[in-house]
Amino acid sequence: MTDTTELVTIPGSWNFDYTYFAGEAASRFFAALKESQQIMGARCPSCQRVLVPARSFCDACFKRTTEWVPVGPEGTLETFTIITAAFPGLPKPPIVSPT
Amino acid sequence: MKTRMAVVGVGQTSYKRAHTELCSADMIWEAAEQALDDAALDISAVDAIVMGVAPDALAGENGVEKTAIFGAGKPYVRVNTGGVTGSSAAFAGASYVGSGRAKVSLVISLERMGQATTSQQVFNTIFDPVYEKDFPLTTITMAALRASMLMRVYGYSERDWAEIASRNYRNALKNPLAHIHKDLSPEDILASPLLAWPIHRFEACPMSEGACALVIAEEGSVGDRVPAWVQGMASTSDAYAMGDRFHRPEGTLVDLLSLRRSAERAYADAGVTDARKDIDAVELYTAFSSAEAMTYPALGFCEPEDGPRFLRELFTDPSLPAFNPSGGPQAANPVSATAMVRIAEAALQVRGMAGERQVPDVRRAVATGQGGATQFSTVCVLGTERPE
Amino acid sequence: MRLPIYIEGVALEISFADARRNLSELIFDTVRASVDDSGRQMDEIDSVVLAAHDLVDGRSLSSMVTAPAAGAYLRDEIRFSDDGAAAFAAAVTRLEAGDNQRSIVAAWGRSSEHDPDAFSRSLFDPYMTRPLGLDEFVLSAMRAQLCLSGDGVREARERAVARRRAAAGRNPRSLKTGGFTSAPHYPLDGDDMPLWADITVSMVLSTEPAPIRVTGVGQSSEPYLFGDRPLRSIRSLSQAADRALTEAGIPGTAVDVAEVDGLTLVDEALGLEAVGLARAGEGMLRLADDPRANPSGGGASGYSRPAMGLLRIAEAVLQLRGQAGPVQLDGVRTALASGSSTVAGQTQTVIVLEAA
Repeated sequence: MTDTTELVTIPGSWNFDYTYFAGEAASRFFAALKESQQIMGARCPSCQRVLVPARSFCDACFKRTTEWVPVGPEGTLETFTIITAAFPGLPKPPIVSPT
Repeated sequence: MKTRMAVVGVGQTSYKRAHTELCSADMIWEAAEQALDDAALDISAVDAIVMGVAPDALAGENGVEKTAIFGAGKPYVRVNTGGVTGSSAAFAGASYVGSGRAKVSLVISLERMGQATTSQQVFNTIFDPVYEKDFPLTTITMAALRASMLMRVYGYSERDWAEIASRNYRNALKNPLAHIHKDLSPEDILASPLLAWPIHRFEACPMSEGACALVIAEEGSVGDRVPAWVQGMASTSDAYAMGDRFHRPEGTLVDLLSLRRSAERAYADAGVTDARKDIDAVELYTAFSSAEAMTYPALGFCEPEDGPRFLRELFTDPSLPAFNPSGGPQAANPVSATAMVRIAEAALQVRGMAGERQVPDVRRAVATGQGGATQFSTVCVLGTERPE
Repeated sequence: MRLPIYIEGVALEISFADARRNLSELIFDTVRASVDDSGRQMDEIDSVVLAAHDLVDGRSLSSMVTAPAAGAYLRDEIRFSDDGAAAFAAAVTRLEAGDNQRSIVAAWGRSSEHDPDAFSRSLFDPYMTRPLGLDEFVLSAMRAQLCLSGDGVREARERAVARRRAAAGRNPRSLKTGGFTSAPHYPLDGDDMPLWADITVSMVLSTEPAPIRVTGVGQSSEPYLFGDRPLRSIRSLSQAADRALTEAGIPGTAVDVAEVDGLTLVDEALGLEAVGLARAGEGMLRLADDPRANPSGGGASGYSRPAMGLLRIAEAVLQLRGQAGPVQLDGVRTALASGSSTVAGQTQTVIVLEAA
């Protein structure tokens, strides 16, 4: 490789389109939010955890969930962050730090 | 029953924003050639090749690992486990040796994110498209959520995060391969722009390109090469949803359960009973300085509530292990390769080949790997002593 | 001394655009079914080995969301962005090495969620080949051009098309409605093309004796550039098959069933030559007339990268167990199955199995 070789760079863009099937469980969760303003969780018959958002199986016990129960609307804030940097293609932050 | 094996060759390209003079196949080749030269082995001696390349979208080349197949005719498989790809690939290569199907494995990992112009958008696509993709969840915000919780639960401060970062940069000054060579003080770091509270820009990793390779050989093939014996290797995968990792008896989000479980198994195989005494150097996969705090209890260095105190001790007690002598991911984070780089650096330390960044008298070194939102964790223990 | 490896459980599902289930749910259903089939409990399983591709799943690091659906919670899990048979081979090494005792191996691909042609085009490097608009079918078409010009081959091909279509029709596991095919490149035509479908496959492997034993594993690879590869043969598949059959101690002609993965009908025919079930130039004849060759219907029953190698192994397992249904062959005691990866079959894995 000589020092005088001009290095070629080629601009490119990938655009892959997808159709994501949300599935019956997620669809039912969204419907409950929209139609009855309820946040639904699903109980695992084995560990008894109520998983939110409601979903069709518990990954810890590897079993199908059984009953759906409404939860909330109160909750405990466990952790948070405040975004101050803007990233292309993502929602705009409320505050942007001076660079 | 278990086959004894050692890392006998290490190859690394330098790490920087973009290797504009190299195509992807060249980068793979460079790391592999170095590792084979270091091991004084020809490609013909290799029985299996494992490639580690994480999200294809960062390279913009699908199947980029296929562009450089060496000594065609060998078993060749590709691993993609996100951030932990480099160590998963190394472990897979070790399994081929452990099974007896390979006497020698060549494992290589490549990060080509210098070709990406919208990497945070790519990282956003790792989140669940049904529930989470519309939120600004990124690698930075997910680290910030943990940093914020560590401060609330265990009393860490913003200053702590800056001091860890400063130490990493200072160590990297001695690593010619590192991407970032800047002697940044904690004040410099706290003065850098805030990305997502409490994480400042210089507490986050750079976007680095590079390739790393290891040669793993079974005992009978080590000969008079300088070995870093594999004493323990373990990998654990956790639940995906962050919300599932709060109120469970196994441990909360910042307890880094998958790392703790991996450490327990790797330490048991390695005969490590007291991490503070038995380990001389630690190479952590911590892309954000605050993530280091989660490793202290998970790796058995202290109880969770004593974390801030252990951090202070790291700065004052020379008998404690050296943390990130290479500078760690703060100084170079070639995502697909980073976890393998940790193993490579640990191997160099054990073999006494770490140059200016060599820690004196390293008999045992630990390398960790982290993937997803602290979902996947690996621990690798390398040492000068051949296992029993 | 290497530990013998057994297959304890198997499950597979070929569907299309089932909007009732998201990808994780589809995976859970199949993995759960394979664990149930094995008769084992989850706490007896300590390893999960997966084959899936980010650009098929439509998520970067797609195993974050999908690995837990495949039983990975607090287990030693790894995901290969490679063909399902390669993941199977890797799982075998883990068990043989004593790293794990019992492993789930699962692979999937959902053609109803991604665009297989866009995926295929992206496999080509941006400098030399992508600008030409190539996809993997181009290599299949070039092979077809070379291989379909022999005497009697065209006529054999018509019989192969009919036999394959009939097998897919009789195979209860094949896709019956939905699915789609890509536009064929000359000289391929619609009958050569794989039926894009949603595929999930899962197995449970262990070191404890069970009716099906893994007797041979072979893998190999070829260069990236087409010009560096032979076009009339699949060298990596020949090498992989040699290794697996040598380990199993039998020649290719001795297997009772061969489930060979190929992107198109022509690739399946060439695959039969590569694994030693047919002599050079006679693959199409074999595919036309030999009931041992892809009794499942091959790619005509449903196809999605990167699941196919594991699907081929699963069909072979069902044959060995006598559970293949209307496509069951008689007296199956040994089986060979293969899986191919991108780019256009550049790496190959061959597995040989035996009914104990």
